[in-house]
Amino acid sequence: MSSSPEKKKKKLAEELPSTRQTNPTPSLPDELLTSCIARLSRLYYPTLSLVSKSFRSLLSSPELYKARSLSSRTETCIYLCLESSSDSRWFTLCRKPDKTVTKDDKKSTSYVLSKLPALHSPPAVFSGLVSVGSDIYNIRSSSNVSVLDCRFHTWRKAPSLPVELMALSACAVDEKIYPHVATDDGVVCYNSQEGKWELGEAKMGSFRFSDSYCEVENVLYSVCNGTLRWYDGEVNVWRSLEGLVGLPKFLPGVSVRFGQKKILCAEIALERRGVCEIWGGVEWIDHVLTVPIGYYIVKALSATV
Amino acid sequence: MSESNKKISLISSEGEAFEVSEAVAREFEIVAHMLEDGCSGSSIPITTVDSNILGKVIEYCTKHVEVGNVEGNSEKAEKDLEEFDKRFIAVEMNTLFSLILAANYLNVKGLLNIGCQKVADTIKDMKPEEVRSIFNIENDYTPAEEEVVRKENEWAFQP
Repeated sequence: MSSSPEKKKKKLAEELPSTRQTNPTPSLPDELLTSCIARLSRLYYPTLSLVSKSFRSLLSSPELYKARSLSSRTETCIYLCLESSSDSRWFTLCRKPDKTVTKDDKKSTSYVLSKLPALHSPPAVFSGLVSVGSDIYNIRSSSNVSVLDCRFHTWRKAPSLPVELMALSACAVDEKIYPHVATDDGVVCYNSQEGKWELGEAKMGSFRFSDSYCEVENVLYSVCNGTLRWYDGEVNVWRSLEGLVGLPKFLPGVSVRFGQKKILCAEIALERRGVCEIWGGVEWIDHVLTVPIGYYIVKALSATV
Repeated sequence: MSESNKKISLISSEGEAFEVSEAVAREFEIVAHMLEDGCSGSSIPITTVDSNILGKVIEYCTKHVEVGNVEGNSEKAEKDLEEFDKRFIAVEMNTLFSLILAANYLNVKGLLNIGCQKVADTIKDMKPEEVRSIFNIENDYTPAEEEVVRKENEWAFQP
């Protein structure tokens, strides 16, 4: 006990690396700033990108998306593709901070579909668009497949299909893309993890040709005849969502007429009560975009980023 | 059992000693690792953290160790702890940053977590100029560059 504490103290002092901040006003290093921002919904990123150049590059850095993924902060983002005779435009759902409201009212913000910046997007058709994780695949022909990375909003090329497409139609199951192809060898699927085409299992022969559906926690939801229905393997029959009020009438199918068209978006909270009942409550509904004249809606998809 | 009664002194950057139980000191993962590596010193200098912040971090860890030791009433204890965390982290920005830096350096994961969450909650509804002043960041956009970024997000700046 006599001299050892002194010695130990010295030894420990050497072991602790000094990271003293020279900046008199403590702010946070990028690594910690990244962990803070990773906790925010991406809906806030466009406003934050105006803070400074370094802030903007942090908001589109791989490190940020890694932090979001590691801390289970990924979220589902809505994307919309519009097309005219000359180009195609992509939009994503954002929060619009209302500049006129006082600080207390800030919770009552509205949502809007914001155009993705400076993207030279290839043309797209409804049945050739499919989302897997943070990517949206745009399949136009067997040799023409491109991928929109929804984290950084960049397009890249994907490998060509090893077989000819029979019709342009694809769906994604378990992170794999199943296009509709003519082949005697069975089903072809794209393994997005490994970035290559491979032979799928034969039992995947019947595809879910998608029209207007989404899957939430293993339940399939679809709009049909003006109502929201759901289906899961346990109940094995389509049922209507209970308790849903405040939504406008759904149009039968996707309308592709030209002209000024308003797009409404709603968030619906789902609650399962027992095996055969799912209740829905509208959290918010907003007019998020007016389709520009000359453009029509190709498809709305969701990506996880 | 005897180990948990052992006292350890944590020395702040000003040289002030804070005597804590080993269980509390072990909440600082950096200290826990040193103890496991055979450093049996009874006083540990925390050279990068001042007395004010070190005192707060110890307060946080003491509370969490106390609640962790209570048996049985887990639901109520958890609620209490949540309330404690909420009150604990309701501090002004500079203190919050110092707490996060200290929690990161000392590797106190729970504190780091609530600290980062608090920063996120604070800045999410702020305007860019407010975020700049909070982080002491200078606006390095030229007016032309800023215009380009505004254009990209033009929806956000319409009345």
